[in-house]
Amino acid sequence: MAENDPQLLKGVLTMVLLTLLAEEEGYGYAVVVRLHELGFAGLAEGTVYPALTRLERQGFLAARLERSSSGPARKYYRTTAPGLDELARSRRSWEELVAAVGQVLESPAPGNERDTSKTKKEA
Amino acid sequence: MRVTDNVRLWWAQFRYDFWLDIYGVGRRDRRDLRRELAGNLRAAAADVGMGQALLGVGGLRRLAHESSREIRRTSWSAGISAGLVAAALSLLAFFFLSLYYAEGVIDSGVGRPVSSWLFPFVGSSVEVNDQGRAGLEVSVSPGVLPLLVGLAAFVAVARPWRALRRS
Repeated sequence: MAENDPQLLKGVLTMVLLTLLAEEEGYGYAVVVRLHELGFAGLAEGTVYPALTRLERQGFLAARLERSSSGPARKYYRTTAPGLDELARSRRSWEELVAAVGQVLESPAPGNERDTSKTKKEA
Repeated sequence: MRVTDNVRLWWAQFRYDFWLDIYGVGRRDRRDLRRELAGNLRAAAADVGMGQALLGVGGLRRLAHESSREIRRTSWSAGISAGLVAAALSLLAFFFLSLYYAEGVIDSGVGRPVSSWLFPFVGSSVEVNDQGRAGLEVSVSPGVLPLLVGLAAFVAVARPWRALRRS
């Protein structure tokens, strides 16, 4: 995947995290690794960790601590029922946005129309 | 993990905790956030090394700022400390200015009591009475500025409006 636009990523991060953690629970760094594997290579830990904290505070994620052999207990997150509702809402918004942007992108740009007519005349 | 990695991890946690405290996060939340960061950094260090793990996290001040958005509270203790330090520093500045003023009076050899206020210490007063061989009398009053400076520092650091917003 090409380098992700940080602003675009920020807008969809909540949706992506809620989806991932609805499928399978995970702790901060494991979530980052999964995101990297899915193509979000530019997504830094410093963006994901606060987002997880925020979603937990909003009640969209639940957390549990699990002992780790390599140090302090790890905090595992999973999506809650309100999180699933929020996910459904943001998916609807996302689909509407994609449809609207798609319409704009598919309509011929004014500059391209002019170029085409010019080419026809020349021919 | 190597000893150096443990030191770097400890130092990162220390700085993170410092900034969380500055942003008004309570002790218990700070401890939880610090432990979570340590757990994540250890996992990342086992995977990519401590240097890369710390790079991924980025600036700890920014991380603390982002992580504390919804849990900031009024930091009374930090505010009181900042207020006291600011007031003490302005008092010290006033003290040095007074000495400088008294030195000027002595050098001028005016021979009678002289009094004035010292800029920018509004409401302050300094009276210098150089009695030659009989001695020197200096009486000072710093006015309200050190108090105002201390109060401003307290308000800026403690952010008391957070307590009002929550209640």
